[in-house]
Amino acid sequence: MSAPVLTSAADEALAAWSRRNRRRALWTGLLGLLALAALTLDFFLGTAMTPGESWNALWGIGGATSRQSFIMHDLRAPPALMAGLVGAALALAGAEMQTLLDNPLAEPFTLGVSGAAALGAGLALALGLRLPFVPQEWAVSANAFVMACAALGALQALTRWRAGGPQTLILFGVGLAFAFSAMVSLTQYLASPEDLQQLVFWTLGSVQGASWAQVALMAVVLALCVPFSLRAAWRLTALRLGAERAEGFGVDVGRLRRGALARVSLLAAAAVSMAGIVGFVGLAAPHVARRIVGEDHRFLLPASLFCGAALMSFASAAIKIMASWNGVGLLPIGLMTTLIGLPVFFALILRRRAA
Amino acid sequence: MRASGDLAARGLKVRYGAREILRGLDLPPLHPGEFTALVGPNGAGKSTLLRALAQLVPCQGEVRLGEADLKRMRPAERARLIGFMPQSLSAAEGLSVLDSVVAAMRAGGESIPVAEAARSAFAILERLRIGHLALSALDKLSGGQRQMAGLAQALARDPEALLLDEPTSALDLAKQIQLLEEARRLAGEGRILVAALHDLTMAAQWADRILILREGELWGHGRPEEVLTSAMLAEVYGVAGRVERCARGRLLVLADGRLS
Repeated sequence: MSAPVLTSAADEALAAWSRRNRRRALWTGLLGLLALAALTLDFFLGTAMTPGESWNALWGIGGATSRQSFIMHDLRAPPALMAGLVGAALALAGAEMQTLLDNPLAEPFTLGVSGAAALGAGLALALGLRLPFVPQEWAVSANAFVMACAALGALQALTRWRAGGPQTLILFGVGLAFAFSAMVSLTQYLASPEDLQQLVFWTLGSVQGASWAQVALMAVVLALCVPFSLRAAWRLTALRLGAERAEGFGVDVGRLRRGALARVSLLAAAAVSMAGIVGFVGLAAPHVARRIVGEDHRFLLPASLFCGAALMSFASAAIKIMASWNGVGLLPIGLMTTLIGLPVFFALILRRRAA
Repeated sequence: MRASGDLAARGLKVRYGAREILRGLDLPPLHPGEFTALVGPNGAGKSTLLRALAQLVPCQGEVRLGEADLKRMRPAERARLIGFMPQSLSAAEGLSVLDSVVAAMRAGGESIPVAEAARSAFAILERLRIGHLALSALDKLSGGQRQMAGLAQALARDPEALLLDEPTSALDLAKQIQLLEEARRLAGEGRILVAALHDLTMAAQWADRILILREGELWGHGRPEEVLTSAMLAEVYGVAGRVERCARGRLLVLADGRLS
């Protein structure tokens, strides 16, 4: 295609378009900084030390004890990083899922991933069923991960076998979710009171038990998925104009859907197996990002990721602050993401309606 | 852009469940530079035929453009040969007209830099006289503007054949003429152009050739004055009507009433 000769009005419009894109890129960068700030805040907050002591303990300066250093490096860092990573993974998965299903209510757990993961965790916690060769401390995560992947694998197989649009996928997914929910109830019914309490706590979401190994695994999963997501950005943007339009532009929509579903599966399964069921992030973070940077997926995907990480880190920080006020200890993070995220979410929606 | 050969189809069959929409339809070769109007009653299969030609619905039969077998191509290659504009366009909120045309270019695997894609996209908008809408959000456009934006998207890959599904249905009279003029020009550059139209007088005025579809089969085809007859109106549409020639020599299709 030869370069077309354009009028001066065209140059002006194209300059305005570039400016708009630069502004979106800038906003995306700012959201990244916000996520980083939230992570830092979460990291330096805690019951045992003041932020100043934490700083010294981190670098081993100012007479920090080895116990303090241990707290920073091995007790605080993994949960703080895990919170950010899980938030990022869920939000990226949510953004892709909403585009994939062409449904603003979609989130990573729409298609029953959370139910499957909960069943896996339930089998480990309540019935002691474990995968062979998996160490005790990974049993719950491994079970949850395998079940979540199995659920999404079943879904992929069903959609391949009976080709259908997003509606079919949603119906299959919701059907599966009900089935898993019934089976989770069954494990709860069979569980002893102590196991039941553990299971309920797990389903509320928590990053407190995170280890360095788990953080590394979560980071690897995210690092594997992000490049493929970004590579698909233009195709996902085109999909927002409708599956048939995208197909007409030359997008292999079936392949795009399968790839996105595979990424969403992997991200959601990893997140849920590490942190339990953390709701709302995967739904709200993409919407917040969309309000700020629009539908162009080159910006929407990273902006969603940063929003999710920020929301999770703020929630984690808020839990620590609340724990220092009263004696109840650390509340489940899954509750806090909703309580913190909801006002922001509503404010953005209402502001837009008013505009 | 000059199409590399004729667009032709043989034995096209499309079924939705138990309903057969196209029943082994043979399409006569459509030549580069020709504007073909596709007419027929509601439910005759016009939209489905266009979608089958663009390979947007599963179909049996053969579709060729020149030497190329459209059924065996990857979507990204096919999009360079054939473009389709649907009757109604959904609009993702927050995407601008220019965004959508650039996305249409880049999504199909066109690996040109974004800045260059944006220049090409804007040239298409200027040509369709909607350059001033480049930064407007798609969901804020009027029906007619959206139709033009849809045409711009369909032109993004600069296809050799362009299929328009009732492109004038949402447009006022002036905009209908503007769109059909543009369609004529696009054909004049050597593209194959097919548009499904309801208005037979418009079809007679603008098209080189008319294809008449009835119940999933090709009822007839030819130059407007050959196929637009009162017998055709009775048989295909179930309408008592006349085809007259006005003082300037144009064909007028007048419907007097339904045949019982």
